[in-house]
Amino acid sequence: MYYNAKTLPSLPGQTVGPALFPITISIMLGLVSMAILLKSITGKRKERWLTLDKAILSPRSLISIFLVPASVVFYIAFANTAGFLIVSTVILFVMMVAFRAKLYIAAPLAVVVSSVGFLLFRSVLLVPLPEGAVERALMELSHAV
Amino acid sequence: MLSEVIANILTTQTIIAIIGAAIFGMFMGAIPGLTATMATALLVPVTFFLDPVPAIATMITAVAVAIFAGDIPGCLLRMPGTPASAAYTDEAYQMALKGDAKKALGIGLLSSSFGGLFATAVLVFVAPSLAEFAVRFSSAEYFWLVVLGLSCAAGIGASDPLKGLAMLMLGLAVSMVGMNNNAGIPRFTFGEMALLDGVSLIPMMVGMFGISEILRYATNSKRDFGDPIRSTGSAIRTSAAIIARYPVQLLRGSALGTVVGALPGAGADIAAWMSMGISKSRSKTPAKFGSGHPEGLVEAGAANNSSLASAWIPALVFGIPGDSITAIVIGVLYMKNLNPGPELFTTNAPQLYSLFAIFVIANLIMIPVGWAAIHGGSYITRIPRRIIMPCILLFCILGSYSINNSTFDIAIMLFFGVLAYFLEEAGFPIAPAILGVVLGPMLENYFVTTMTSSGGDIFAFVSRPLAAVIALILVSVWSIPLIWRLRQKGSASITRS
Repeated sequence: MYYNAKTLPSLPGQTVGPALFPITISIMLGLVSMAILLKSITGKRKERWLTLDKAILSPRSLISIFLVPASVVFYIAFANTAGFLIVSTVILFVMMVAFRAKLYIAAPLAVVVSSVGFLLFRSVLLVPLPEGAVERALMELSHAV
Repeated sequence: MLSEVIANILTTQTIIAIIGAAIFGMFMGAIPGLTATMATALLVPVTFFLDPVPAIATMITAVAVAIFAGDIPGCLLRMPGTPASAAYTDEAYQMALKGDAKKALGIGLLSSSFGGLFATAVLVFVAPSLAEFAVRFSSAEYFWLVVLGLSCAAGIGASDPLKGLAMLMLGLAVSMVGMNNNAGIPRFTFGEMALLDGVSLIPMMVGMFGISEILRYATNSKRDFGDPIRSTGSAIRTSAAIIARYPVQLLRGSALGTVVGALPGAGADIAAWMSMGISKSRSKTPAKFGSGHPEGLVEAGAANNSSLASAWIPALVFGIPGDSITAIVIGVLYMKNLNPGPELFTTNAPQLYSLFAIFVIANLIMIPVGWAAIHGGSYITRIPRRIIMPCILLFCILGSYSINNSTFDIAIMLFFGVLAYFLEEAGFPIAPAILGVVLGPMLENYFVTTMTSSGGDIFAFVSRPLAAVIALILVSVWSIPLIWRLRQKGSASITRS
């Protein structure tokens, strides 16, 4: 941050350029980090860097943790081609099952929640959600009706 | 003006927004792990599509109701629904064990409502006169106010002030991204067009408060709740009679909450902890605390809700957020062309007074909605998190996307969510980072404006009496705790020798 800020140009006739704040903050961030490091090394109490739950080591937890960012990445990658409804239903179903919900509860709930989300954001709040084959078929059906 | 205020409130959109937000707030508050701040962040995409008054009304109502609703799982499961309820969870749980769950929740409901109304009265009377005074402020005074706000944010909210300070710096660093600086030069954009406008605050907050909580749940999804205690005991009328026995505590809690809430950086949870402490130290029967004694409940219940309304005083008058909730609200105010600052009180007076009226309505509507929730409390707290958490994940994605219709914002949400999870597990608080992002651009802007207008004279920051006074207050905020700690160390070493 410090070196990147150093490369920012200064403005002619201005006493304060765009580099001043980033440089100041990078120096302060460095100082505070050093102080925290020193405190943890010299402190009387041995502090742990991370206080993670022990249950994190179970394979189920590891899969659940991995699935949270994976499902967001899955949405970003596939929503534009497969459409919102399919992608969000898959995400909801997989996450609910990973969190130990029963299959026969997760499946209908995933469909209902993603449909409600779609209706709320697409029809009420007018957010242009990504559309795929299912959405297009539904639109045609609603026009036909 | 009164007719304009009434016309603003009595629209179908506003009424539906208030009722919907009250129910939403009740669910968010009653489910442990979902906070009032998360409720506010998830409401932002909805406010995008509402008129200014109903948009802000949803936030006021949802937060006020959520803070009370946090008492429900605290009382029935010994698991506070929001951090603001943590201070008196044990006390309420002990009452529930004695069969007085409804009484404990009734006390929480009525004292919350009173605290909220008390602080609203202060907001209505203090904010306009403070705004009249603030018209005289120049960029130098505002600069010191922002520094004061940042100092409080780093110091008060964190158990370790150094970690709070580090998070504040991180927030300030994030606020530097983009070309929203006086020179208009892109900084830290890494050639990414989407970053030219800076890091979007809402996706960042949705990630930090929503995704991090989902990740925390994912680490141990077995950790669902036990069976709640059946909410037995008598209802609201008895609670009102108990509160009537503690008028001093009720007023003291409301007053302390109002003062704490108005300080930048200190929120409802700190107000409740402080009130609980004061209540115990001033009580005639301190030994009864911890065994299901209602005295502390009355005081702390009033304190956490009163701090919510008073946090709006610095937010509306100076544009400086009192807590992470008002940090989000300030973003929405800008989005709705209700730019906070002293001018708001003259240019948009009817809309502003409509918001004050909504504070009153929110704290009154809380009573029937809360009453219903108390009676169905054990059902609300039984909604399994294995179902709720995936739904929240989907709404986090939807909320982040709908601000700019951009998938880049979803990536921002994910990045900050994962970062916040690890930082929180390492003991770093999140709120200072949010305040850093909100206040960073203001800090730089006021600094550059003062320096430019004075031709680079650094003494311009203290040459005006008002600016000098605020600077002195700032120095004392920094030095008093240091001196106090040094004196404590000194007296401890004398005692030891």
